[in-house]
Amino acid sequence: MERPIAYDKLAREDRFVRMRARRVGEIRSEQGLPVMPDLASMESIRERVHGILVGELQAMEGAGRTVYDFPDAPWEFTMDMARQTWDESRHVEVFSRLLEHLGGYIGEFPETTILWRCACAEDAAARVAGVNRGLEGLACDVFVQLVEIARRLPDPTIAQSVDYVLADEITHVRMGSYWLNRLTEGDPERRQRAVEFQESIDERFNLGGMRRDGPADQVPIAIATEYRKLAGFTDEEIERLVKSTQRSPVY
Amino acid sequence: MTGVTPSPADQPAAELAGHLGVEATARRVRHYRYAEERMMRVMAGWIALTPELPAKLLLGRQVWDCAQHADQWGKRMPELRAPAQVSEPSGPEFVRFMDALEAREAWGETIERLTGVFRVLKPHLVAVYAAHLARANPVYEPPTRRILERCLSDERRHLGEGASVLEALARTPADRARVSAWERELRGMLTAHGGLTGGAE
Repeated sequence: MERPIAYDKLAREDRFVRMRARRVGEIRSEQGLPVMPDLASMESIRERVHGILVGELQAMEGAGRTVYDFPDAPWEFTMDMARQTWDESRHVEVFSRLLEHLGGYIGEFPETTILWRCACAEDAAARVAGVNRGLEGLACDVFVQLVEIARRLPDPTIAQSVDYVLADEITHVRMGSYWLNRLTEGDPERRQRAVEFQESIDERFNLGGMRRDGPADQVPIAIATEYRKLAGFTDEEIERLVKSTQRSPVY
Repeated sequence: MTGVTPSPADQPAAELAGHLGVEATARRVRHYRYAEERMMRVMAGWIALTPELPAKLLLGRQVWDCAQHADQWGKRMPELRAPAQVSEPSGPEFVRFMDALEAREAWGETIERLTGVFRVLKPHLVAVYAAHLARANPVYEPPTRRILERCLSDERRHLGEGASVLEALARTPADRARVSAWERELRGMLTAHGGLTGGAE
């Protein structure tokens, strides 16, 4: 098997509809819709859940590739990535069932592959920085908000199942924080490159200003400060992320 | 009476009769770890290359179990006077078998991927583990026996799950012929040189 594989080797059933993220944004804009579903209606919640489902699928595929692509990495690293692969497979099942619970189906909305592209970074340290800290950090932000909205609806099915997924995501971010440090020990340049990769992902997923500091019910995606601290983000990193959201095009 | 009735004094000796010595067990454990680790990495790598969602999830669910098996074998090694977490194939033939199993990575080869793992490699692992467990001494080898029991339990469950997914995928006679052909070819490679243990009893 190739190590690593090309982006376009990602395999899908025909029912999935793949589209470039930029094109999805253009279509949404043409239709007068926000860049990301705003969770203001059941349809937008369903669309968000579909987006999370394909994200979890790519996270499982990415973690699996990390197990395969780095046979010389420390064994404990492989163990963590194998564990993450299992966790992500459960998340796919959770969100598949939630999608059905909301009356949706796989392929109802397009799939973009930004997460998968991040998971194809050639350096293991960049992968854990970008995927575990950047994207799984974003997942913490998104899930905290989804749980809050589900509690308000109220929809205890969504609230409880997503809360369990959130607990896993915090564990994955924690793994990312640990392995970013371990893998780059004594190699500040490698660490810097990995951190820059993560920051580029953070910038991209500020989603034109949709992710912001503020109460979950008042901003499109709120930065989950307390959960991020639990996952190993420092106050300085959170502050930097907040500042980066203020630099995004919406401001 | 034709046989010799063991005297009470012989009973402890019979209970302490053993199959493999410490060094042989350590070597065997390295072979097990090689198989579990390599299978785990291959299954993990295939997830992204497998289009069918049930097969994708099947692989994703089992990777962690196989990693834990490899890890438990790896942790057993220092208890047997050997370095921890070392994988060692029984010989180049077993490596070639694993290379062949791994090589079916094209999108359209999910049937071959699942056949290789669920109809050849895992059934072989189950047979080897079961044979080892049947002969491992219950007085001084419970540490090995416990790992064998855990692995056997998981692998048997994996086989059941894999059989369901493969059956759903291989619906046509042509599909089933692919299963049979690949199973026959791989099984031939595996058994020609003694399989996972290289022919050691």
